[in-house]
Parts: sequence; C-alpha cells; structure tokens
Amino acid sequence: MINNIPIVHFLIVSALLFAIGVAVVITKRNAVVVLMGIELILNAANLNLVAFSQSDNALQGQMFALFVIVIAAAEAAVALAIIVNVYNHYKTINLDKVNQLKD
Amino acid sequence: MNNLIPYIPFDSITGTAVMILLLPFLSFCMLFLVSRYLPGKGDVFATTFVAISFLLSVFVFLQVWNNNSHLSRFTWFTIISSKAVEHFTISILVDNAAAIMLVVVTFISLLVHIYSLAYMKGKRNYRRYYTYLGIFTFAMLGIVLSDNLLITFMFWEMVGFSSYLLIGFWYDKHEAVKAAKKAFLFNRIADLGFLVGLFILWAHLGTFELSHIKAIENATGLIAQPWFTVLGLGIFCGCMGKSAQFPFQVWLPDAMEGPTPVSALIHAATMVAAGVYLLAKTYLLLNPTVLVVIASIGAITAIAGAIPAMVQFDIKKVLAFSTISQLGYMMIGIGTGAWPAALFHLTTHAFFKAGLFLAAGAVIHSMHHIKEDLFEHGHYREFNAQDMRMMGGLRKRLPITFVVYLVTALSLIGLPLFSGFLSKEVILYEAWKWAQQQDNPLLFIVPLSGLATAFITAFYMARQLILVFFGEFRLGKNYKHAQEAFEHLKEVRYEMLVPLILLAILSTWIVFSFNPLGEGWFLSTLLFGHYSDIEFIVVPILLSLSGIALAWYFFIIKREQRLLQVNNLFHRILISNWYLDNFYYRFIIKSAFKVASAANFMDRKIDKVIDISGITTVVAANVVAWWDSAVVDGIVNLVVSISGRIGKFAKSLQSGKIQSYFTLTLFFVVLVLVWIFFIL
Repeated sequence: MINNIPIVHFLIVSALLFAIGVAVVITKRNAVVVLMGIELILNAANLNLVAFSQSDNALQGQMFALFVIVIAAAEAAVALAIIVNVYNHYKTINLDKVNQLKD
Repeated sequence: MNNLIPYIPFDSITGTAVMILLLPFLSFCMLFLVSRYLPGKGDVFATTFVAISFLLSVFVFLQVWNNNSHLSRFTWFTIISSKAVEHFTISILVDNAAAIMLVVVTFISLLVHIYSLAYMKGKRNYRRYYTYLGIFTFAMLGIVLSDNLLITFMFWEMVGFSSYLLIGFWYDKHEAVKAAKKAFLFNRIADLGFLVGLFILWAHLGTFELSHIKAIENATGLIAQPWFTVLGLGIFCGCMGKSAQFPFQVWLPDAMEGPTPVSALIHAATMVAAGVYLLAKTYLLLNPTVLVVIASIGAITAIAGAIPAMVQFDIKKVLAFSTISQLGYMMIGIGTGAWPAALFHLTTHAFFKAGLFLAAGAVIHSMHHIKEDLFEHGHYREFNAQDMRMMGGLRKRLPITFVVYLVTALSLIGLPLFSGFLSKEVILYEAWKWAQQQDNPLLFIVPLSGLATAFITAFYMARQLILVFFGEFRLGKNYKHAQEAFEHLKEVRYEMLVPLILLAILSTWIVFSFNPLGEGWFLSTLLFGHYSDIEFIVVPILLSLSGIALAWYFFIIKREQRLLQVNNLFHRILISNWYLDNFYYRFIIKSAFKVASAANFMDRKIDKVIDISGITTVVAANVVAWWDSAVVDGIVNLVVSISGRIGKFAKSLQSGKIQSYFTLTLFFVVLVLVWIFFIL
C-alpha cells in the first residue's frame, strides 16, 4: 500500500519537517531545543532518502538513512557535551547570551 | 715661482722685536680687562710697558743700525691644492728703517704716555685712554715690523680703527664723533686702493712677502706695465688716506677733536707717517709714472696744506695743517727717489711735531686752568681754550713751554742748527736735482712748491709764536678777572715738561749730525750720496727768514688787528680748507645720496614686484589648498566612508549569534538555489 502513495506526498511532509526544523533552529533560544530542530532537519533528509529509495532496488537510500541516524546519534552526543560545557562556562544555554563568536 | 723658504727661525733681534710688538698689546689686554682694579686705572702700568718696549727698541736699534738686517719668517697656514702645497707665511723684518721707526714710535708713545699722566688726569673715561693708546701702539709697531703686505694691511686697518677710537674719545662732543667718522671713512675709501694693489700683487706674483719679492730675479718685470702702474697707484692711494695727502687731507684738521697728546702721537708723529714709511718700504714696487704722481701729489699737498695754516685761529689746527704740508714734503721725497730723505724727515718731523703738539697741549691746558680759575672765582665765561686770539704773552708765564715751542717751531721752519733744516733741505735739494733730470719742465713745480711752502711755513709758525707767546694776554684786555687769573698762571707739571724738554733736545741738529749743515749719521747709513750746493742751502734759509720777517712785520710792527678777523673771501676759503668739504658734500656725497635714493627707489619697486608675486603665490596656494581639501580629500574621504560603511554593515552581520549565522547561511544557500534553478 505504501507503494501507492505518490512520492510527492513524502516530499511535502519532508519539506514541512525541514521547514519546521529550520524554524525551530532559527527561533528557539534554548540550545537543546535548537538541537531538536537539527534532528528534525536530519530526519526530513532521512525521509527524503527513504522515499527516494522506493525506486531503487539496491536500497542505497535506506542504507544512507541508517548512517545518518547513526551519525545523528553521535552528533547529538557531541552536541549535548558541548552544551554541557557551554553551560559550565556561561552558566546559561540561552543562545542569545552566548554571543562571543565574533571578531 | 714659489721657491720661498717657509721658515726662518727667530734670532735675538727679531725675537726682541716681537716682544716690543707684544708689550703694548699685553698692556692693552690687561687694561681692557682689569683696568678698573689697577692703581691709577692702569696708567703707570701701561707707561711701564711702553717704557720697556722703548728700551728694547733702543737695544734693537743699536744692534741693527748700520748693520745686517734681520728677517724671520714662519708659516701661518698651508694651502694644499692639487697643484702644489703653498705655505702662507708671515715675516718680520728689522732693517735700518724699521729700527729707527721702532725707536721713534715707542719713544713718542712713551712720552705721550708720560705726558698724559698729567694732561688727562681726572678726565672722563681716563681708563679707556690708556687702553686705546696700547692698541694704537701695538698696531703701529705691527706696520713697522711686518714684512708681509697683507699683515701690514691688517695692522694698517687696526691703526685706522684705533685712530677712530681716539679721535672720538670725547664722544659726547658732536664734532668729535663727526670727525672720528670722517677720518674713518676717508681712510676706508683710500684703503680700497691699497686693497686693489694687494690683489694685483697676489695675482701676478702670488706672494705678499716683500723680502721674497726682492729676492725674485726681475720680480717687477713679471708684472705687466699697466698693472704695475695700477699696483703702485693703489698702494699710494692707501698712503694718501693715512698720510692725509691731497685730496684726502680734509680728515686731518678735523681729527684735532681728539685729545691733544693723541694728536701728537697719532696725527702728527706716527700714524700719518705710516704712509710714508710704507712707500719707502715698497719703493721697489713703484715705477717712474707712479713716482711722478707721488711727487706731484706731495707738492700739491705741501702747498695746499701750508696756505690754510696761515689764517687758522685754532692753535691745534695750525699744527694740523702744518702736518699735512710736512707730509707733502715727505711724499716729495719719496716721489723724487730720495726715500731715505723722506724717512729722515719723517723722523725729525716726528720729534719736533710731537714737541709742538705737546707744547700746544701745555698751552691749552693752561688756558683751561684760567677757565677753571675763573669758574672758581665765580666769573665764568665760555671761551674757546684753543683759540689763539684769546692768548698772547704766555712766554712770561710758561717760559719752559715757550722755549720748547720756539725750538721745535724753528725746527719746523727749517733754520740751521735745528733738525728740521737737515731733513727738509735734503728733500728740497733732491727734488731740485730730480726736476732737472725730468723731460717735462712743468715738474719744476715740485721743488718750487716745496720752496714756497718753506716760506709759508716760516710765516705761519712765526705768526703762531707771536699770537700765543708774544704781545699781551688778549683775553685779559677787557676782562679784569681773566688778567688776574693769567697773573697767577704757573708752568705746567713736570710730567708734561719732561717730554717737552726731551723733544726739544731731539729737535736740534746735534742729535742727527755734528755738522749743522752736513748730512749726519742718518743719511750716511742709508747709503745715500748727498752733498748740497751752497747756494741751495742759502735759498731755503733766506725764504724761511723772510717768512719770519713778514710775520714779524704784520703782527709786531704793524700790529694788524685786521688779520685776526675773517674779513674777506680769500680768508674764508682758507679757513674752510679750500671749501673741500663743501665740494665733497656737493659733488660726491650728494650724488652718492642721489645714487642711494635711486637705488632705494629701485629697491622699493623690486620689493613691490616681489610683494605682488608673493601675494599671487599665496592666493594660488590657497586655491590649490581648497581644491586639495575639498576635491581630492573629498574623493578619498568618500571612498573611505563607503568602505567604512560596507565594513560596518559586514561587521553587523557578524553578531556572534550562532543562529543568525545559520540564518544567513540558509539565506545564501536559498539564493544559490534560486540562482541555479531560475536564472541559469
């Protein structure tokens, strides 16, 4: 039955996910929530990969999605570690206050 | 050309000469620096130094006279050029002439020093007086000793300068200041000629050393004839200024504004004779043309100086004019080739003229005494203490001064038994002999004017003697108190009398020759063949006697009061020294001022042009400055501000917030995508 759903629908959902992720990344102040937005973006990409792998018998898209999930897990771990360090340093994780990345 | 030995060591004579030279300089330095702390303001000190100098001069004289001359030379500086190494040397020559001049200068200087102890005592700026005398004596001795004409020139200028200081010694007197300036300027103008002569000498021979020039074979032949003449005339021009020859003689009568002992030392005995001495020394540089000029100028000066002396009323002015006239005699001596005779006359003249001036000083001093006496008794009246019309009969009160005056005056007149006779007679005889040898009969004017001058000299000296010492005291004629003061007048102090008596003794024949008519030791040493014809001895004597007789007739027998007033044109011309001053004023000074004002006018015009160009430049500069600041700087500033703004904008993007970076990245990625999909 899945085969019946046209690919456009996946792409729309994926685009929405991506848009929501971007919106979250841009607008949220909390670094953890921004991380979540990044996960959304990654997952939008995963969804695309999987959707396109329907027409690929080698299922390379699904393989790639799996890699992305693994990398995303690692990335989340690293990112959270960074956030913990940021918190230790700045006593906050509000991204508006962490603004020394200039000049 | 330069085979000169650069170094000849000092021997005992030249060493002593240097000491003689330096002693007055030492005295000058000491007095200049510390005279206010010395007893008597350093007057005795200075006198002692000059006395030592005089004694050394006598020593040198005894060693050198009629003996070898002594020359020392050392290098002053060395010029190393690509061609050669040139030593510029200075040398000192003590020969017969220098030796006698040393004695004359130091002796008169010593006497003036002693005399001034009494004469200048208590006068204002007494301290400076001896300082100036020191520098003068030093400079004069320098002229005498130096054998290098450039060094001579330096001393020459220094003599002029010290003369300037001493003429203007009473600088609060307007006339004195004017006279000092005048003397200085006239000397300066004449010295230009000297300088030109030096230039020519250097250009042709490359040396100023007289001893060297003498040593060069045919040195004078190395100079082209016209230049040689110019050289001689140039040197003579310098001497005309110093020795007050026509037409430069006008400064000398005015120079009498200086203190009387100074007049005796500088403007009678030594400085004015420096020109004669220099010409005698540089005789080898004078060619026949120049000699004729010198003789003619001398003759003109002799007579042009003597005639105004006949009518002067100022006791010192008479002597000043007589000095001019006697210097004319010396120039005749030089010009007619009888330079030893000129030197002889210089020597005898130095003694009798210094004696006359110092005796006149004693008279003036006594007149001042009368003035002070009147002042103390409350009868003060202003009168000129140098005016002979106020004097008369002074022989009763000043017997010794009178005798001195008589002896020295007779010496000046040139009667036998006096030194002046010996020297003047030689000059006249030589001039006569010279004129006979010349082709041009007009040149007989030279000896004839000499003879005429002898007559006039006798007249004015007799007139002066009569006016000052004979008759009655004219100031006291209608003036009882002055007559009383005159009765109380005493002979001057011994400091003044001793020099007077010494000079009177030196004005007699015995000092120079045992035979009162003969040639004496002086001329025989200078190897000068001379014997006069008996008739030639007689003529000047007769002329002199008739001059005295004429004066006697006018002033004693006829008692001509008319002659004591300026009453006709001729008289006025003579009183004013031929109106030469007016002539110079009208024709030279005025035209010089015209040239000056024309130059001034031109200068102002040039100034205006320069001003305008200056203003234009400033305006142009302002325009350029505006252009620079507004346009060029503006463009630069615009670029700067644009880049600044861009920079600021770019900087504002870098906010440090991770999310805005992300947004920007996204934005540009979208832009790239848009570009890829829609534009490409």
